[in-house]
Amino acid sequence: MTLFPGVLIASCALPALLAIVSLIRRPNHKACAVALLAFGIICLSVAGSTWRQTVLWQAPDWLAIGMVPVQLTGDPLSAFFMLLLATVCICCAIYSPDYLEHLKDRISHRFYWSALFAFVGGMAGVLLAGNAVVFIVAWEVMSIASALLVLSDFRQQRAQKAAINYLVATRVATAFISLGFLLMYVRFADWSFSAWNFSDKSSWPAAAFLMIGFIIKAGIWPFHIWLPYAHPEAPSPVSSLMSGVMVKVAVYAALRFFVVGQLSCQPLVYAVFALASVSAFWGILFAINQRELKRLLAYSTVENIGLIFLGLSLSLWARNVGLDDLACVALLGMLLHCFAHGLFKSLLFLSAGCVDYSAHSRDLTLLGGLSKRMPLTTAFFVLGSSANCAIPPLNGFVSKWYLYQSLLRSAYTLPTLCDRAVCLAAIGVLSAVGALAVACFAKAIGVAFLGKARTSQSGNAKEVPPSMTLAQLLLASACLVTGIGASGLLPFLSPVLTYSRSVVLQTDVLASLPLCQFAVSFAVLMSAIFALLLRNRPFKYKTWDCGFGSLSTKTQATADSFAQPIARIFTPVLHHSLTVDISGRDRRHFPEKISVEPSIVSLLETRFYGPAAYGLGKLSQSMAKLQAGSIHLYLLYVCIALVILMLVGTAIW
Amino acid sequence: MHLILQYCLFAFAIFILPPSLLGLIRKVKARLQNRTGAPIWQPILDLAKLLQKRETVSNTASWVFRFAAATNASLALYLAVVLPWISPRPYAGPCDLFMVIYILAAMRFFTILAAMDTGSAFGAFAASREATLSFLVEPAAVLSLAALAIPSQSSDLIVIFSNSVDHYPALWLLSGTAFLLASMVELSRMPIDDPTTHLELTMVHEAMILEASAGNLALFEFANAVKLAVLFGLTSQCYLHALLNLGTVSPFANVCLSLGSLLAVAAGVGAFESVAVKLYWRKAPEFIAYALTLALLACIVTLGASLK
Repeated sequence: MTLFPGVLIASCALPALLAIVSLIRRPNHKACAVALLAFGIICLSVAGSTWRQTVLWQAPDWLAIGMVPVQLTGDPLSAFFMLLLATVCICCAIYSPDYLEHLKDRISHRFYWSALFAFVGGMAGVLLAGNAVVFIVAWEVMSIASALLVLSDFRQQRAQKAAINYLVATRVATAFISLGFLLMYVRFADWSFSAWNFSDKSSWPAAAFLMIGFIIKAGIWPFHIWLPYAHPEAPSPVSSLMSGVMVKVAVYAALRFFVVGQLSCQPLVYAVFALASVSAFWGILFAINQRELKRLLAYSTVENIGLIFLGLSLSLWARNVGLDDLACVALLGMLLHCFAHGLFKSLLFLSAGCVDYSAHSRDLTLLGGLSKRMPLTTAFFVLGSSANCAIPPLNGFVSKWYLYQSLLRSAYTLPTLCDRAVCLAAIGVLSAVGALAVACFAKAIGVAFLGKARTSQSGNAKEVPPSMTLAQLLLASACLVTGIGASGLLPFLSPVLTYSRSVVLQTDVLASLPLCQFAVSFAVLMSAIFALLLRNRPFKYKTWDCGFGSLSTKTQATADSFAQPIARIFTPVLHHSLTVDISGRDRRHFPEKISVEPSIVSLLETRFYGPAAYGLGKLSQSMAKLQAGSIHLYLLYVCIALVILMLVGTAIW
Repeated sequence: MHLILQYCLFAFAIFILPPSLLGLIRKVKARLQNRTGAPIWQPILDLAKLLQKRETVSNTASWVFRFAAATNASLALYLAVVLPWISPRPYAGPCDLFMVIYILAAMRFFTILAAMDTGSAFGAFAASREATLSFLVEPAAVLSLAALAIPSQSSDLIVIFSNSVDHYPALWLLSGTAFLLASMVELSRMPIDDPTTHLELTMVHEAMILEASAGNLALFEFANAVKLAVLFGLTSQCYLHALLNLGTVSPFANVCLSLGSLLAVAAGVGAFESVAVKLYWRKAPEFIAYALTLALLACIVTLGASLK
């Protein structure tokens, strides 16, 4: 039994040690990857040992931050997220050494590995924090380290811009969270989370501040704008840790405070429900209009986080009106989606990294034809995309099915007509989001992997080394197993649900979802078809070109042309426009130059954040005038301040 | 003995009926245009012919291309076995509404991939249109079925379609019609896409499978026929529920009714297609808006009923 606190400490202390060591000595990729693997295994053992029980570790008095001793707590809820962290870390550790080879002159090893260890250690720290002070310190380590990782390729201007955006977002988030913590401390006079709850009105302002902080970090609309810039800029293993795990850490925090802490503030729940629906739709709408593979994936993360917060808010909502069964279904859907998204989005980011590794580009306009050169990576990307599109029997489908199920149940159990109508409408929104996700990922695969290669670089791409394939294989099989075996694995989640003050779910909810039977019959039918009907080797011939013989890579659909019909429908939102230029002497019959340039504008950025940043800049410029460097002025300030203080002092006394 | 008969009937329903329905639609169209038309079983003969040919695959295509055809056919067969679209069904397991929607999405996903795999401009054109249409029509399809799910308090379509206690004819009628319109878009039928035209620039479904040939094409065509039979079958079941309480009907009458109503829906679609014209592409959302409006009306009806 004494082993348990030991693993908790190890999972936080080891990365700290490793970060320092790799900062001092020039690290070797293989050694660091082994260290990361060891960290993953320690996280796994933390998850295993705290899966069914709560383990507490209180540091001796000398080890304190400020006046507050360090306190680590492992409980079923953090174990669930530790499991996700461990899985993704292990796969990234396997993937990293070979992947980093192709970035060797672009990133600094020392810098990269120490920031990476600090980053994963920070995440473990947040998950295991037992009081608010440890939490905020770990949260800061996680945020700053990940911002440094975004800046890995620091010579790129894009990376610099992304890192600045991201840093601003994390600063604002931390400010809100600290404010929330201070208010909670004032209310309960205790930093420890076990003393806190949000069930009465006096803690609602704190709840609102915390919620804002968490949804900024998770990337919910309208605070998502940093996410699609920051996630793609980092090297792929880091992108997959950020999208797969880091945003889930914010979800974990929301769960820890509001579900375990029993938030009863219904207006806040309504607001989160609305924002989550908007961000699901907004995320996928922008994802389909992206040209860059990893940015497309990052926007899809915004969509998935929207779905996760939809489940979270529905669960709180149902509990507030006394429907515990419904709350449990929604919570289960949301937890499963956290895990599923963590797996398939990490897989997709790793596959995108393989594309970058072999074809030296992530720009969809420069890719194409990779499916013949890199069949395994293509297969993994197709599998990950199918999971993201919720295609049965993969894990994305199981979690989305629970979300649908909870919405459908609320459409006939919530008390008022208005509530029911809102939930039914949310089903409609979710289905449109689902169809857009299919379109988005079909585009990503179709343009990047299928058809003809658009450049010689992608035409000469080679399949990636075995270690990178193995990492993808592990994640892909995890997606498949947690999908098909969902009904068998579900009972293992009961400690998490019980811990989250939820009733234990009746297992018959899954009964109408025969995924195993589906998978078996699909496999049988497929092999029958291949054995009987598609047995012969086909005759190879060129693609139908209307007899003109001029099919080239330029006549293939591009990322923009595929998305154009959808972008056109949303012209009011996206400000989609086409600039067409056809010129030449005989313009009509023999144009010499044809160029079509589509453009979309993110209104949120140009109309809101842009002016806001500009106004802030102006304001600080005018403030700078106060500090003009003149000693006379400063003396005047000192004098005025003194007089005011004396006046205030006399008034108080 | 009874069971064997049931299996035979069901095999007939899966393998013979779907192509014949296509033949029936074509026959109705031909008769309304004063032509004799091909026999109703012509699509079956076409499929048999395709299976005997040698397959040609584009040089550009990869493993995705043939995989997609096989996936389509397998998923369509799976749907035909589990969905309550026709009355004598030997399979009695559950059939979830959202699972069905996402299996249909999987079929679409792989068809789009097959279309883009050959690097053909036509395929990609059509794939992009298909993606757009599906996104517009998906809420209508899901909401029309979700509206039916609420009185039964279950998302299992078997439960929904055997529920004879809460009987709301208006709901069945609205949902059925919304679902019919949605499935006409999903199946690339007339006002959105003309399955008989062969002008590549305007086609949706046909252009996506332009590169498929022989066995591969047969799989795509068969999958589409099965999908048509299944979706129209669900619509016809909705209409039957609107007309009479199916709980009181004897099994044999049920078989006749379900087959008759399916044929009637197919013939109705044929008649509609011979008077309708293909819509200009930008007008397609307006047609889909009808489906969505009907689905929303069904939702209002069902919410009103659920509060009672």
